[in-house]
Amino acid sequence: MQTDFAVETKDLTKVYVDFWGRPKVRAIDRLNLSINRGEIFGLLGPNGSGKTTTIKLLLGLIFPTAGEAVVLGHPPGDVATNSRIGFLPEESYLYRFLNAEETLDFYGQIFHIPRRERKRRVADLIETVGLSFARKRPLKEYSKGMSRRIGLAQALINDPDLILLDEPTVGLDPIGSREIKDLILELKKQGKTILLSSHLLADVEDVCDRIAILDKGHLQVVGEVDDLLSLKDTLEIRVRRISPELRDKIEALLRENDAELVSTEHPSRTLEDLFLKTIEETKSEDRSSPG
Amino acid sequence: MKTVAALAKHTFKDSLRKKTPLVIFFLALVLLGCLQFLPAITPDDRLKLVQVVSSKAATFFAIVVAIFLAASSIPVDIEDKTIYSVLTKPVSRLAYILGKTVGLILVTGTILLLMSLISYGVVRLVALQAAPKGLAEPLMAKIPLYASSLIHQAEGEGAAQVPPGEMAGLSGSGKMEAQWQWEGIKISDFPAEEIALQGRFLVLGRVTGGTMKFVAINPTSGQKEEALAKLKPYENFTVSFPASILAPAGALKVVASAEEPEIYFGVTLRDLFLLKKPGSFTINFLKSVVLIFLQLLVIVPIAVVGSSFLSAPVSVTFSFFIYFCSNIVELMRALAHSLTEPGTGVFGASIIGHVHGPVEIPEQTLVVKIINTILKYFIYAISYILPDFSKFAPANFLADKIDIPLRAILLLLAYALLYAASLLTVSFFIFRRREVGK
Ligand SMILES: Nc1ncnc2c1ncn2[C@@H]1O[C@H](COP(=O)(O)OP(=O)(O)OP(=O)(O)O)[C@@H](O)[C@H]1O
Ligand SMILES: [Mg+2]
Repeated sequence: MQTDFAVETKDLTKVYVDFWGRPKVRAIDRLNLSINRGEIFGLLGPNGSGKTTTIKLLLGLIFPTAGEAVVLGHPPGDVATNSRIGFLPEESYLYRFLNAEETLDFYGQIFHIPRRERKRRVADLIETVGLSFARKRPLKEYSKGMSRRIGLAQALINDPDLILLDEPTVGLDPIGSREIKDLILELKKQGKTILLSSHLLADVEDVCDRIAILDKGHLQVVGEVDDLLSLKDTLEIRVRRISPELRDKIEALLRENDAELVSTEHPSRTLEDLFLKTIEETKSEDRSSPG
Repeated sequence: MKTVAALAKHTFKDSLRKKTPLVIFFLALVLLGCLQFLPAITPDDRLKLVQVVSSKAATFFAIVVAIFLAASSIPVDIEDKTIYSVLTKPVSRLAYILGKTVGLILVTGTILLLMSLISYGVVRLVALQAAPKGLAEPLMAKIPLYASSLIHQAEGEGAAQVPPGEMAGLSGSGKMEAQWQWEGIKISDFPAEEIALQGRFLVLGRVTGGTMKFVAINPTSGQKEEALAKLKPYENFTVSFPASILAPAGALKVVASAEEPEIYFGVTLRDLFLLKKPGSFTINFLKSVVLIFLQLLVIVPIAVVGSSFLSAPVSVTFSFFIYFCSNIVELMRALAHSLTEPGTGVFGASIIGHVHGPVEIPEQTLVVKIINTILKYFIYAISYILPDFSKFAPANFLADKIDIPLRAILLLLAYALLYAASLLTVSFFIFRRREVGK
């Protein structure tokens, strides 16, 4: 299968079987996806819809029942291709007895990164994911969010071209989640292709160029986020200094023209906005106050 | 290669941090400490016991650690999903298996080394305690020189060569002789004053044993020397001759005959040997550690094969079972051999008891014979597929203070490497098609 896409699947199907080989779950059913180089692609879907299964198939951790996948021009699991891939599993499954530095150093060795360069990259990445304060603590003592961060760092140790992130922001606090999203956008700027799965719609909305929605292993929707989310026949007007009379007039005008008024509340900021702002404010106060 | 090294190093580190090896290491410490208080009749016996027990304990603990770590290595990686972040990096499945194996052999080897250091210290200590009690050289390694041929002769019959491994009988009543012949003897290999012969024969007829006459003959000079030895069942004996018997160097014959009519001796080619100048105990001890290490070289890949397709508990059980069978290979062959004999085998054995007079052993019926034949060749096949671990056991060498021949170690090394290589190949082919994402 020749392809210009970073990732392409053709009728990819995965049926989980039990010990005796009897089919149990059809987790992915004839999935056709193509992910362009340099884009951020979001894989959405409710729990158990097959997101993780798709990613595992793309990595060669499990083998398809039917169909095929091409990753960076090669079949999944290809050893040479793996040196250009970064993967953050659904949960961070790393060696519990190693600390952050040792963990990253070990993965760096696997990529044959020279010692000096490795040291520099390890330090940089720990800084980037905000774990400097815990770099000497064994991972078994890490909190969920911290594990997530070190997981992300290990996925980036080889400066990969294609990054697969399975629910990257799960378990992170809002700031962490914002930081990760910024990092993802930064990676895109560096020309990397990113495939992320999530059911946190806000995350996806923020960063993805294109998304696909899976349900029970079937591809339901695929397309550009802007296209999918913008409601072309809906208009939201926000007005300051509006008088009750003007408001009555507008409502009357709408009725005359047979347009349906959906809501007239004053827009509110999201909880996330509020939380972020509060934290941001206390942070800057801390800094300015002496002692 | 670099990848394998990185994985091996990582496996080593990870295993040590998991502390499992330490638990067993402490257990070994306790056991070796207890050895100090073992009762034994003579200082020499005590020393023997300490050596045998510590060598066997070290083997046992090393093997247990090896099996637990290796048999669970891949299943635990899959269970913990740590394998995700390794196999999605440029690590081939072969490199993964090799890295694990090498790392685990290093871990268990290190544990073995530590245990051996303790054993060595304990043995030295016990030897020190034994020395004032009149034991001249408590620790040494005797270097045997085996005869090149054994000839058996009975009055009225011709002389017959006894093939290696076969036993010839010497009874005092039958005027029988056994003649061991050595060739290519170098005088410089032997002590200056006296040369010694050591041996252990099968002794039947009297529990206290019997007397045997040994005559050493130098065929070149015609010099003859006689010595008598008291032989007890299951015990080593030594007889000495003046060293002048060796000159001129080259060949030597030793003729043995039983002195008392009611005693019967069974002798084989390797039951009697000349003792060269003794070697160093420390080197021999090191060799014994190498032998145990060679066992690890085989058992780790066996457990890795198990772990490449089984779950951790099943794989541990599987590995212990294989290890157990590998220690009784000879017994399995004997069992297989007897299966098709009349009166034995599955369904074929009938109770023969309380019958006076000649007993008729029933022939096996055809069906039973077929079942037994299939079983026989099945057990035979398995006994030849399994590595023979009894060959790697150093305890008897230490107990008898016999030098472990370097040649044997090299042969066993080749044998172990061959096994390890084939096992790892098998493991790779199984693991190659295994889905590691659950
Ligand atoms: N090892 C397995 N054996 C059997 N069935 C499995 C296995 N792994 C996943 N499944 C099934 O496959 C389906 C898809 O699972 P998958 O983990 O891909 O979902 P997901 O979209 O990642 O869900 P989530 O949002 O909860 O992470 C589910 O029905 C699940 O039960
Ligand atoms: Mg999932």
